[in-house]
Amino acid sequence: MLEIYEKSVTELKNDMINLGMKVEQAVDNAWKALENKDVELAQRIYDGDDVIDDLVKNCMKKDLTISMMQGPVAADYRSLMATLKILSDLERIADHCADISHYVIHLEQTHHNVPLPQGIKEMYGVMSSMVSDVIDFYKERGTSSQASLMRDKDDIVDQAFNNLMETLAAEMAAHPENSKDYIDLVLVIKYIERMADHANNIAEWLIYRDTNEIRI
Amino acid sequence: MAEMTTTLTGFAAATIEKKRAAEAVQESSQAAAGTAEYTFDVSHMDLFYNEFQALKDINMKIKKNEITALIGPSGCGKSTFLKTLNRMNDWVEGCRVTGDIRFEGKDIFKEVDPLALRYRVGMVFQQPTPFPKSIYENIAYGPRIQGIKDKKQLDAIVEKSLRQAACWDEMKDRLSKSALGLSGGQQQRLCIARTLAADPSVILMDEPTSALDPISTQKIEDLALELKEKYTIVIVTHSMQQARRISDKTAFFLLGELIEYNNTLDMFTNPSNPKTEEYITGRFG
Repeated sequence: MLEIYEKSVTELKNDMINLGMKVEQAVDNAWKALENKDVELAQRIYDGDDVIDDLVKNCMKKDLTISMMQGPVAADYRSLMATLKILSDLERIADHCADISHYVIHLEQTHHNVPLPQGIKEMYGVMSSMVSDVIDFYKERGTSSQASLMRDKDDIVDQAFNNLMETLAAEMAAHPENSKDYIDLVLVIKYIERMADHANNIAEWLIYRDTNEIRI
Repeated sequence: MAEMTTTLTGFAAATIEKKRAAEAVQESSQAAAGTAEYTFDVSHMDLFYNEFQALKDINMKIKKNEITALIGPSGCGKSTFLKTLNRMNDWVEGCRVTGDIRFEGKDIFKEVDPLALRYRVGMVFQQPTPFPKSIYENIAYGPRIQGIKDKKQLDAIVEKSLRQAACWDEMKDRLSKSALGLSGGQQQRLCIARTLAADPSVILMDEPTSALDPISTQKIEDLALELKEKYTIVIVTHSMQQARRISDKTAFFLLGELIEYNNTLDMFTNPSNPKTEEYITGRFG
């Protein structure tokens, strides 16, 4: 029984690492598409979301099956519960990559060529590093002290979001003819802010996995 | 065999005197019960079988009206510990206990008569052990040797005990039938009813469901959860699912030591000792 358990848990962990890589890739590509106005890449990200959804579903099934068949307790139980929660957050992060891609395509179709607001690159960079970090932390136990630093990074992203909102409001007032494009950009920065929230959630579930403390 | 006959003869002869002693214990314990939070208070207890030390420095308080589960691998001392609580180990040759065990505030070796103790601390075993008598006589046997002769009183005890053990509806029409004709699960519940007839405050259960099918097991577990309203229950179990399902506290024994004693929920979500974690997650050994 234990051998089966260890084997299935290792399999799930490998699947999670693979999923994590795909999500990280989607996050990187979504920025490239946004920065370079790469409609083709945006379309690939948008279409690729179904692949990520399938991987998420597969991991969820495995997690639930192990929980049901093996009746795990203690750290084993916490790890499976945390994984289930983390899967939802990963799925949401990937969804937002697809959402951003959708607006990259939309922005290009309007031909207004509104520039990206200043500071969005830095905001995206902090969020993207959070996603990479938590995916790394997932791989090993005992990373809760590092995971708890994500909260500070999330605050930085929140602050950047507020600043960018003000910038975009000012731009919109100055160029009302491009207001539709600015609305698209508002949505994009909101997605970036949400992605950082989900990365922070993942960090919180890793803390639960390691310490049994629920912070959310 | 000769020894057992002597014991039984002695047991019968001393019944009246013991009954009085039991009543005295009951009265004094009832007086203390209003304030006493713990049924048992065990401190620095060591137990030896001749030279072999089977239990080492056990410290444990067992809370009233709770189910306490004792878990651990075979030979860890959990059943030995259970049997010490009502001095069943007295009959084991070479068994020696040191330290302090208090039942409702009284030292069980110095201040409580062992027979009186066993009336108050009943026991249910792994294999159902009904007497080869009728269902009625199985229950009435204890009260009768305690000196109760009145038929109406005995009838009332039989009914109450069977009801408390959730057996009345299925057994009320066959009270005169042999208890040996009951299923294993029914026999076990009958044994619980027989224990209740002695009016205990504690029920010790030594793997009470390991010989039973899942449905009978569930009935015994439901029963234990009902009975804890009135009784304190200490259960030895090899089933960790069972410990999780029904117990309030869990004690993990290993090689004669009490490794961890904690709320069951805490024990199974975040055990504080790595040895407990190894055992409950199946990584032991």
